[in-house]
Amino acid sequence: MALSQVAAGAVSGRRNAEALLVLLSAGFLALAWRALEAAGFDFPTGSGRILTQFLFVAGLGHLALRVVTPRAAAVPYAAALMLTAVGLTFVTRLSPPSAQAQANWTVVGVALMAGAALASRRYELLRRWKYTAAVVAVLLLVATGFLGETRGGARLWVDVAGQTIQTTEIIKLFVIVFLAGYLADEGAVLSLPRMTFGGRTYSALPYLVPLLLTLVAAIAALALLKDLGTIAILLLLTVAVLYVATGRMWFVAGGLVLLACTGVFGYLAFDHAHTRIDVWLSPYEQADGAGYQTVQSIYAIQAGGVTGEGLGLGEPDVVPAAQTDYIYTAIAEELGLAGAIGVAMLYLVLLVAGLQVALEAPNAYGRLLASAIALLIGIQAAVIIAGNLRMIPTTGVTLPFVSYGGSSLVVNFLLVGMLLGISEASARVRR
Amino acid sequence: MLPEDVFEGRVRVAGAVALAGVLAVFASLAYWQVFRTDLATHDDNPRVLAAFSNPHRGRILDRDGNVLVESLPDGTRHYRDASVAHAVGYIDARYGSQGAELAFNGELAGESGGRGWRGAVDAELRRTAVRGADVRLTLDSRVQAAAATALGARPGAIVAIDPRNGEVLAMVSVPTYDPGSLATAGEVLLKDPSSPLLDRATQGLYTPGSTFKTVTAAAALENKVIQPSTTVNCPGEIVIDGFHINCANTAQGVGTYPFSAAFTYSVNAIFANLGVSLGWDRLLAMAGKFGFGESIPFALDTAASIVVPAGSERTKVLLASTAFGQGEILATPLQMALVAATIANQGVLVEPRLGLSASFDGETRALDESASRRVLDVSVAATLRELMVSVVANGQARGANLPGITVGGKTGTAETGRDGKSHAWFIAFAPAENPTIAVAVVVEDGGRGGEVASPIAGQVLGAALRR
Repeated sequence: MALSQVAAGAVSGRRNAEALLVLLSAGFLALAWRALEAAGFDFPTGSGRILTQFLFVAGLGHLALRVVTPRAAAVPYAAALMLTAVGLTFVTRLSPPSAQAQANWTVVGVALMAGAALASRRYELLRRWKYTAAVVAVLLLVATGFLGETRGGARLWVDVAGQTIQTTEIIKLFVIVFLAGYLADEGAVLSLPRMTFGGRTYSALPYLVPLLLTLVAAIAALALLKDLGTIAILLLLTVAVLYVATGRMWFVAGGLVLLACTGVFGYLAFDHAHTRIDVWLSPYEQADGAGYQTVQSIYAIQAGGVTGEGLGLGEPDVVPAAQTDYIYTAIAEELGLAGAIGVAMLYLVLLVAGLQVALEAPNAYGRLLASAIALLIGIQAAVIIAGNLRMIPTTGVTLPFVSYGGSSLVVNFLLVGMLLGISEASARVRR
Repeated sequence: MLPEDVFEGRVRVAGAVALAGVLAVFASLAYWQVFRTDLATHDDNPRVLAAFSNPHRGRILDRDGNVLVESLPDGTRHYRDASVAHAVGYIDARYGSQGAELAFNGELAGESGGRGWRGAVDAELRRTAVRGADVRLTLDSRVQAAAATALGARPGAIVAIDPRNGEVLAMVSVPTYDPGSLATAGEVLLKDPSSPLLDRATQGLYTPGSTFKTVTAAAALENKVIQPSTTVNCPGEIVIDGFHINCANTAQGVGTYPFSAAFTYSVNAIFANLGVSLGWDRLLAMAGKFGFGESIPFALDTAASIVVPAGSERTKVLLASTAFGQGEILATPLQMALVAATIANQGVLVEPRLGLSASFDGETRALDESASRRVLDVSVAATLRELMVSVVANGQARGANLPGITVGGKTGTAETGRDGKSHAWFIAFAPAENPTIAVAVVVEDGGRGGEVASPIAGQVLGAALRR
């Protein structure tokens, strides 16, 4: 296979476009480094390596895709890399000691992405594992409940061989596999109000039961872990994929009601959630306590103005957890409205590219898997950005590819790898 | 199963929702970043405090480029010389800002002008750290040091001005303080009964005593009420509405002599009579032309000197005592320095100036020059200069004698009404033929102006003429 594929990669217009876009993200990081230098930023020793490491891994990832998925869409990898470059810049700037780790996780992420792209060329094989995936997701959450350690009020981290892993990031992969498989199989049924078979009419509702069971189990487990952000993301994702699969607004409404109920329940049952909502509504009442982070993040965003204070020239580090939950705030401060909307538009580009892959897929499963991946990344970005901008309560989830955190970075690169695999498979069928 | 066209329609909806989401993010960013500018000045916004400890804030230099104030790498301001404390002021997170630090904050912080167009482009596009411009003051460290040494630890103030352009060469206020110690000693300084934080040079209001006779004489000469040669007489005392004014306040006071002698020897009774002949209106008009009654426009905050408080009854007795600088009149040292400078500058008052230029990366931009206005006729100014020269020439201010240089001056011994104490005043200019320096000295409770204040002024004049 190798020679013919390499030849195909070399002439692939999509890969050439990707190469140009990858150069753009490499250029961004180099310029960002220069800007930080000009701002008198105190780089940690050996941070030049972060830059070269990124440049190498970006190039190698691109070359790997030329071999593995020569005809796959150009944008997903490039957009993910651009977001990663933004993330590396801000993690370096906000939390210098974490920068090398983030760069290393980028290497792992890109490598796994290439692997996932290769494997996902035969993504149909995943379809039959939908219920296994659902069970694994719930079991992972339960295991986290028993083994996990608590950080920032939520118990989401599990220690595996010296690395703490955020299991709520991992389960997203399984949830995607479950949702796509389940809806590819049952979507046709669910899209009808009722169906007639052999002269008798049946309601489609019973077909929702496995989905509801999985959702309730996941929500219950997540509620025990106090990870309300992930609950919101899973519910929104389910609603969105249900709509794409069935086109029924009834499900959308039902899902949103469920989300609202979860919110109210969380507010009443958990101090953690209670505080977050109170702070969201009136941060100044506890400006020195629980509201401190919110108040400071507002000041940081305001300071940015239209063009920002400039890389390394703002004070975003006064916001607690700036490099994880509030990294978008730091971007808004130092790159301003222009940079912040640019990042939001990168997610839109990635989402649209993912949906494009879905449209090109020849079968229902491919379409739903690709759209679920695209929607997941988009929804997660929307939830955290809206939280940072005080449009909704803050949730404490990561900004895909940008926030500091290995689990999140690797899982999101895996998702992009799956997208590329699906895209490659579609291109092969069409030829 | 999932028909392509149906699926495409749903995907389009999903895409539209996502686009709407980005638009909502845009609207939200615009709300916070463009419209909520009020947040920038909230008390608990750490950026407000950060502005006070910017390590890139510009330096404050004297006119020769000697560093008076600079920022250390950690952002704290290093004040090198306590004698210029009141002129350079301070910038502090808790106590705010004063002096040149406040007056030229825009340049020092890099927010306005001083950086030049290249600095502005750098700040806006290349986003290098915003560095402030260095601000050069009109102060001359040698004159400043001479003034500080001459006054020593005695409470009081000195202002030295170049009468031709209003440039303030020295400004001393004693007691002083270390502006760098404000963060730790601020409360103590605020409560100190000797008021070290008060800038006596621009805001200290003192009875001017006989130095004000220059203004009375100016009004009389300008209105042709009297000439230097006009014969005046004092039999021993003069009584105005029952108010006895002894002309034996100086040895030469009793008898018949020309008005010039009354000025030289500072005979109160003659000036009391002169004031009454002038009347309130003409005296106040002349004082107003010199700047009395309003704050003098200056880089630093100035207190308005007052001839007669608004609520006081304008009696003939008060007029008589005001005319020789007692009564209820109060003046700042800066105001009296301006009186001397105006007489020295052929009757043209040039407003005082503290900022000389701002420079950034080798580009230097002059700071605004002073406005000027004619206060006295050229001939009246010349007459007053002669009168003031005779004060020094006739030994009334021995300390102000400089070898080979003609000095003009006027002493003042301002009774404070407290335990017979008086403020020692002296205002002067030199060289008399073409003055390049004018000075006002006040020593609180210092005693006689001719004995206490004139030697101080002499040292300041000497230092200024040697530069």
